[in-house]
Amino acid sequence: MYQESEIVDLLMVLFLTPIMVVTYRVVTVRGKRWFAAAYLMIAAGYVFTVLEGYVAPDALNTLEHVTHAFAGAFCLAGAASVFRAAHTEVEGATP
Amino acid sequence: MSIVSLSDSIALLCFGLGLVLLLLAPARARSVGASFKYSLAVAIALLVFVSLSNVLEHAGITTALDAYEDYAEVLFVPLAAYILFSRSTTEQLAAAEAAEEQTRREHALLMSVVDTAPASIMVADAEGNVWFANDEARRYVEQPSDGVSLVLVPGLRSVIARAVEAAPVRIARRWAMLDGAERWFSISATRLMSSPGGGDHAVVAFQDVTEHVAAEAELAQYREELEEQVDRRTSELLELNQQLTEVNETGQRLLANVSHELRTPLNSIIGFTDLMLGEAPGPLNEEQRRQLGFVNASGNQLLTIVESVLELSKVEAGRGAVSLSVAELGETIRDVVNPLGIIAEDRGLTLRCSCETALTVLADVDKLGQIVRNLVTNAVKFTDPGGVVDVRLVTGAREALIQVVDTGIGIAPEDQKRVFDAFEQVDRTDRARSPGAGLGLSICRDLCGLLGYGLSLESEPGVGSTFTVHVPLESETATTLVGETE
Repeated sequence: MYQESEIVDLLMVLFLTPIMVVTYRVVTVRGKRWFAAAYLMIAAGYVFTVLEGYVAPDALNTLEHVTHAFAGAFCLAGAASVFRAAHTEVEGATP
Repeated sequence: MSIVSLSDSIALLCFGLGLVLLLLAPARARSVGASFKYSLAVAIALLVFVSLSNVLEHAGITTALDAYEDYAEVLFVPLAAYILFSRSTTEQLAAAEAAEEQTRREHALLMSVVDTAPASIMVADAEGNVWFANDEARRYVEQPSDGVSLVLVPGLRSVIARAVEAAPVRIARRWAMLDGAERWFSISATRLMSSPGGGDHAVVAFQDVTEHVAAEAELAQYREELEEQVDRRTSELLELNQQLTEVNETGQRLLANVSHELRTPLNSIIGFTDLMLGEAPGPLNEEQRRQLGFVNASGNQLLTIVESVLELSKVEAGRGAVSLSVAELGETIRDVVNPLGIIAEDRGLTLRCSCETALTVLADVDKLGQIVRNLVTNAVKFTDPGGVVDVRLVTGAREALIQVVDTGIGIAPEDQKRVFDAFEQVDRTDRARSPGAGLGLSICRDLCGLLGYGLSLESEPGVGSTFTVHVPLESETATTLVGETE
């Protein structure tokens, strides 16, 4: 069965994600696509967490942890992109 | 190791490295910013915590963190949303600040331009309230005692009312100034689309053109005076020209009359001296014959001059009417040159005529003959005994050339122009050589002009001269008539 916190997580994902998609378009952050992919992986993990209480518990649990691994990889790529851009900008501005 | 454990380990490693990289990124870089950096670090730290909890749980080390994992997961989504919205707000704020700064700079630039402009520029409404006036415009508006508001002069108020209600206005007007003086202005006014404080406004630009208008009026007056002066001078010149024409005609008539009156007694003198020299009245002694010879020769010379003067006056008066007829050019020249052979022989000269070329033209035979006669006589007169005078006819595609070539004294280049002027003779030192009046070449020039011929001269002092008459062969009339003759 599901826990209450998992339902709250899912509701917030469903409510906030569409609004975040609209805002995402106007924001200019280096590596924002990587961060967006990581967020979507986490959101997918939330869905699998709730679903595993009803169907295919083992498979969906495994999928939840795999999505976390992918989210970690995407987050690392986004962080590396931000790190590189920030250093390039600072070094370029140095006289 | 199971897939779940492996995934948790990868997640922990990646989130951990990502967190480190993010914390090492310089926050002063504009592309990052402290707020974005640290809020994103917190979000990643939550995921590190979740991953660590999962690893420890699945490794069987501890489940103590599992109770807090739910809090971390609940916090993550709103935190991610916060990061996104705060970043968006920050960027919009920065863009607004940049736009404001740009607007401020452009406004300052515009104000500098408007205040420096030599024209007066203002924004006002139809009621006469001035919303803006540059430095130049403030000279022409009233500033009441409150020191703030500006009031338009009445004339400008009506212009703005027109611009607000109808199309753009471009006019010139004369206004009474605040000090009572009247001045001219060139005005442009256009309705303002986005009015300050709402309502109908117009932007007006005007310039004091009083001096320009005064200068234009002065210029117009000057032009009028100049035209009057030109008209007056033209009338005077026309009158003077009329008087000169009358004087000239009177002179020519007098000359013609005098010459004509002289010819009759001269013919009597020449005729009677011829009779006396022929001893018709009785025998003469040697001295009488010699003196009568002088009288006869002088009479002939004077008759020649009189006839030349008469001919010149006829040509100059335009009475030398052209009488064209078909003529054989070589024959015409030979008919003129051959009788002159006696004179040339008397002077010890050789006169040749190389005019055998058959060429039929349309010409005034008498006048053409006179031209040739004058040129040959002139050549004979100025060629020393033993010399040669050669008359040639050369034909070309467009014209025929009648050349009179002599081996005479020649003419210096500086004198070659004036030999064609009336009463001009270059060599005046030897009167015996040139007993004429200096009219022969002048008559030739005038007759050539009358017939449409050209007359040119090539000469070298001490070597001789060549006078050439250019007879054009392309005359339409001539061609037609010649064709009919053939």
